[in-house]
Amino acid sequence: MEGEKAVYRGLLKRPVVKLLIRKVVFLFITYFVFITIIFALPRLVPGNPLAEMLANILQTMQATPELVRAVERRLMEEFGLHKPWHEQYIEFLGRMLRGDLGTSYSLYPRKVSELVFTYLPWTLGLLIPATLVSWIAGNTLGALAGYRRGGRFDNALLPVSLILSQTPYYWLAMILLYTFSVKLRLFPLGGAYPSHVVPSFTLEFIAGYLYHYTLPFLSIVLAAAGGWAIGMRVLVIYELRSDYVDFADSLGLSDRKLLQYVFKNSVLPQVTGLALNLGTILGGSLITELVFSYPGTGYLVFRALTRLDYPMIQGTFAILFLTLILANFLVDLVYMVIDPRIRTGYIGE
Amino acid sequence: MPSRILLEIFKIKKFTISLAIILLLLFIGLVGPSIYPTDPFEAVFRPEDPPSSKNPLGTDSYGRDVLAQLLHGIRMSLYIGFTASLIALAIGVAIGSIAGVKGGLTDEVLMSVTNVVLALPSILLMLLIAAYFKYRDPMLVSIIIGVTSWPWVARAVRAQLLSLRAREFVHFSRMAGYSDFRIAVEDLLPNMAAYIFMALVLLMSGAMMAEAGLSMIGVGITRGASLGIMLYWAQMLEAVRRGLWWWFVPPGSVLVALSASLLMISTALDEYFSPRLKGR
Amino acid sequence: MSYLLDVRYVTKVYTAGLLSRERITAVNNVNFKLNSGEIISIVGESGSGKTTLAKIILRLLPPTSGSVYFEGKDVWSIKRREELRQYWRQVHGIFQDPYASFNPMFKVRRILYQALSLLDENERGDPEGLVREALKSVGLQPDALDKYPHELSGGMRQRIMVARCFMLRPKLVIADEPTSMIDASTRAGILKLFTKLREENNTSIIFITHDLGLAYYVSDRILIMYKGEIVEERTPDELLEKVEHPYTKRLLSDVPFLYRKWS
Repeated sequence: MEGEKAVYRGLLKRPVVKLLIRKVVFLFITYFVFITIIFALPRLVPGNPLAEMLANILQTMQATPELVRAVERRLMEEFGLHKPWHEQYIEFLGRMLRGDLGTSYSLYPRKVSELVFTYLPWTLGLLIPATLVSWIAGNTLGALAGYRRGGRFDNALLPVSLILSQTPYYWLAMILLYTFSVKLRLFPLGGAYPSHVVPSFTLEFIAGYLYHYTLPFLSIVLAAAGGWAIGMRVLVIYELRSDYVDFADSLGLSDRKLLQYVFKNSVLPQVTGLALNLGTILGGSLITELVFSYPGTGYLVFRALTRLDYPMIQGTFAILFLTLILANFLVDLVYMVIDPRIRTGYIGE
Repeated sequence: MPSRILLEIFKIKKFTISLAIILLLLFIGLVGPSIYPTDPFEAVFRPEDPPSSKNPLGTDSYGRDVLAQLLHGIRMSLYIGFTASLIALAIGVAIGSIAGVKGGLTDEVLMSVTNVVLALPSILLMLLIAAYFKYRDPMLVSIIIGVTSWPWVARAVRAQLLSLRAREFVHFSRMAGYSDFRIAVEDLLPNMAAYIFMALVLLMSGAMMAEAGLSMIGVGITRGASLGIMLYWAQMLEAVRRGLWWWFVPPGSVLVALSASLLMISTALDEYFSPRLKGR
Repeated sequence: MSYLLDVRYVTKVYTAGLLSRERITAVNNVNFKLNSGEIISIVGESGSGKTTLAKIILRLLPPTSGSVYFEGKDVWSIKRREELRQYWRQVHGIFQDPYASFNPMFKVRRILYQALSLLDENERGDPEGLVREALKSVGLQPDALDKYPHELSGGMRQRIMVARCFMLRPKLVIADEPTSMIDASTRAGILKLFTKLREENNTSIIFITHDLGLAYYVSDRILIMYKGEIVEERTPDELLEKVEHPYTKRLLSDVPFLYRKWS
């Protein structure tokens, strides 16, 4: 028992573990803050949007009076507007913890959590591969350009990456859609799969899925890769100026080996960059989904925002942010594994 | 002293070309609507007409002139970009310099708050806040973008300030008996100025992008035209699938041109100043 | 009043972190004394706390505990601007990085005119003349005044910092690694300037360095600093005969030429 305790205590003292705990605590705090913002916003904004929403439902819902009353009762209950705010808050936190995100009213009576989990896989299926591919491709190209700074490849890549990095994903999506689907008729006009097939593990569906996947995927990859390439190029150029490179050069190390070292050192900040940019990538790809009428979370967010479906807004954002936090945590883990300073406990931060 | 630096900066080709593009678009945004007085919101033309001598950039599905919308849109996007970045800059510089100068507990509390806000994805936060306002005028949209974009500025300003304060020339001014105020004015501020300007430039490009993103997803300004609103209508009315390229290509191109030029300006300044700021 | 400088039990602790407070003791209980006209060296590796100590003596960084007495007066009890100016008039510093010593926005002239403002009215008579004379004594031409720092080499910049001391003629100069960032070829010239400063004005000098070899040749006394503490105090001659602390021995083994007999 005593020995076990000591081992446990020893483990807690290890810098990696300490760092990990600090990360988890920090992410937990940010999530808590975000949830609190979700709760507080509708109650802080002048004119009480929630009350307005209820009035809105009564006016606009094309439904029987019984249905309208049912919706109203459900919403009153869920938002608890008749109770003091601290009770509302505690109830809200409780529901969030249980994963009960309330009932959508624009798609009444479907549960928000159920809706989000129907649409989220489509988004993740697009977002995760596109993010990884763009990150790897951008960094590789950027490193090559930086290594041969001023060369022909660098001179071609730099302006293209620069423009791509400042191109909104969704606008690039519009251009690609117009060029390849409308003009050249090479790709479908939208959707995630052909309308005549049902999602299943058949060859027909998978082929149709990939066919529809190409353009949305490409537009995210292209737009995101530009930024990574520019960042990596600069990092490599800085890295090449450091002493060890001169030293290795004087030892007659091969270009390939040297590039490997330089790449390894320059890629670390890019991993941090990935963690920092996940939110932006998510935002961009949500709108890209709209352009391609892709049945992902972007559609849900758009619908919720334009119809002022507050339960759906709250629920979708809570889940999206949770997804981001988990992704962020994963990236941090990867960082810890590859950063030699953290691995060996050389630094604590 | 500043004139020499300005002269050198204007010799950087990257900088001058980018600045020229920005100034040109700014000029177009300011003067364009008066020179080309067509009403951007009046649906008086034949809908979905391709560019012609009457409508140089064609018309949209309602029969409104696209060029007129573009001119007003540039003005609006620049306005929101500028206002929002000023708001973010003010918050960021205030928090960053208080944290950097005061140090101690104040610093730690302010930086903890900043780190938490930094970890919240600003795009989601903006959408969320915007959703709760029924009417969104350009000022409100600017405020929403501004209050969600400042954290990296605060961190950068603080870091810069701390590094400047530890720089030897500050010690030498102190050893010459200079007051804190004189040190702030002569040693800290001028060396921060370039840095703060760079932050403003980056914030501005970010804010214009954010405006477009908010608009695209349906929570942009509720009245008037901006580059984002134009793209929103083009998207809503299927301009892409119906081949109306003149509707969505111009606003996007202008947005990319603005943003890329701003980025180039900040890169050029960074390349010019950072070796000097580091003293080399 | 017998000592020029008397450093007593000086300790500096840095703290960081909001939740888990981390404490780093940079300077730990340091004591030493310095006579008028004496040159001593404080030798230690980077991170040994020697720069922190220099800043405490220069009244740029408050110690956590302990005191610094200059001519019998507690330096950190000085509050009045006028007295502070007097102190910096008499105790001045030069730092390691000749690039960071200049505000890049101003011409070189500024750094020398700053020193002028420490002088009394009657000493200032002909400011431009004073500045030129100081430049001359460090071997620079007056045209350097109207240059921007980045137009000068590291060695030239450090000479200008020494010129500042020549204008002030202080009783004590603290030189924190003044030659570590400049070309080896110009080092000797700058070191010579310090000895000239002492010869002309009986100025005491504290060299702060990582280079025991350099300390050996220029100082009357050598203090070895290790992990924030002064672990050994020797004259250069004693250094060759008896050292006790293992760290000093390690330092000595890194400068083997010290053992060679000079004839």
